[in-house]
Amino acid sequence: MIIDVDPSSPVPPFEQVRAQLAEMIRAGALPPGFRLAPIRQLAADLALAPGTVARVYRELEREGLVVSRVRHGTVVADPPTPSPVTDSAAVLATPARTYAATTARLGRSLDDALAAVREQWALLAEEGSSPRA
Amino acid sequence: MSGTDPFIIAIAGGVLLLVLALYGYVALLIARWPLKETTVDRFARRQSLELTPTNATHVVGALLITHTWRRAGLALGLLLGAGFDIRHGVLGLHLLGGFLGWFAGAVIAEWRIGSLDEPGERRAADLSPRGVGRFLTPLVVGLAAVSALVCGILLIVAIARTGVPGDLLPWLVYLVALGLVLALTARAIINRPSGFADPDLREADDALRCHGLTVLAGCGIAAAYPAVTALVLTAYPDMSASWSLMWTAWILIGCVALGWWVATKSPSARAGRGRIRPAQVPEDAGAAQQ
Repeated sequence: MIIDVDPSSPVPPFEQVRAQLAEMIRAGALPPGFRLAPIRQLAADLALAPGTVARVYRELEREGLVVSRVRHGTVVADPPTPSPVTDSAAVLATPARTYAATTARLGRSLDDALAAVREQWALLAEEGSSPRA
Repeated sequence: MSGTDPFIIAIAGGVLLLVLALYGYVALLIARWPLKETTVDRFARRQSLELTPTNATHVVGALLITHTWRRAGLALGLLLGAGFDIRHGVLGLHLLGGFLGWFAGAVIAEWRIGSLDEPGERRAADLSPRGVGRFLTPLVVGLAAVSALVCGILLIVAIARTGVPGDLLPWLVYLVALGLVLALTARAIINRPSGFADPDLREADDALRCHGLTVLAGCGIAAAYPAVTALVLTAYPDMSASWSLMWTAWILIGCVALGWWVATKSPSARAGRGRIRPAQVPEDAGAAQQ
């Protein structure tokens, strides 16, 4: 499983790595229990400071996506058990952030991102998933 | 006395110089032996690596480094071995010296290959942790572990039977040094940064690590031969000459044959392993790009 860092991107390397890892974990490409590369290995391969990768892992841990244990390294966490939606804005914030970061990493504009969302929204409506117009 | 006759001394010196020059010439030939296409093909076949225009230069560059250093080490080892033999009044081919030189060259080459890492601006990383198990088959790991265990047991037996006599100490140092060199070089190979964004280069890098570690494991097993022999002979000093000879021959054949098989013939850890997968782009992201 490969991730990459584009130094010419306006998105900082920290956000590029964080967004890709979060995306892969949420999409199920990295299954629960998958052991991630050690900080030093990932930092050396991506030519980043070990502190940057450590910060990514800390951020992912804070989001509940990974678990770090001494001697066991960092592993992908079990998916959280579904809880009743109490604050829809808070629930939307995390995937929206990931999507925004991906869009920026691809060099697309905010308008491109919104157009893609509208297109998917329309497709869902056609399929009968009935999102509100 | 005829031994101090200046003429005889001059003749003997001339012959010695001629022999040394011949050794030097052979060593130079060995060191400058070109890297053949068949070597590259054999490497690619063994490592199940598809050579492409993108990774061929990297592979050839790395193999050239190992080829040059191993042969330079072999040549230097043979020369030093010949010098050692001549000091003891013997003229011959010092195979152990040649092998140890070759081994030293192989170790240096693995450290030098790290300088080939120029993946460019855009860097990529595999998310799986790199470890010995990724690059060596369980069989090779097992054989290396058994070899180390045999050395350890023989060392304990030799110390228990004879204490630590002076003639055992050099082999103790030899084994510790061998273990350290192998461990540090293996660590250097595993920890070598690999930031290649191109999938073909990533595969080539993976294949070179598998190859380097396998050769190292084979060398380690073969290099244990003189120490194992010395430990057996020290532990059982009352062994008859014929038994000593038989044990020495068996240990030599066993270690060298096993080491050679591991280094050159054992199946690669890459056999049956798929390509390193790129990140799975979620379908939603693909739609978003359209």
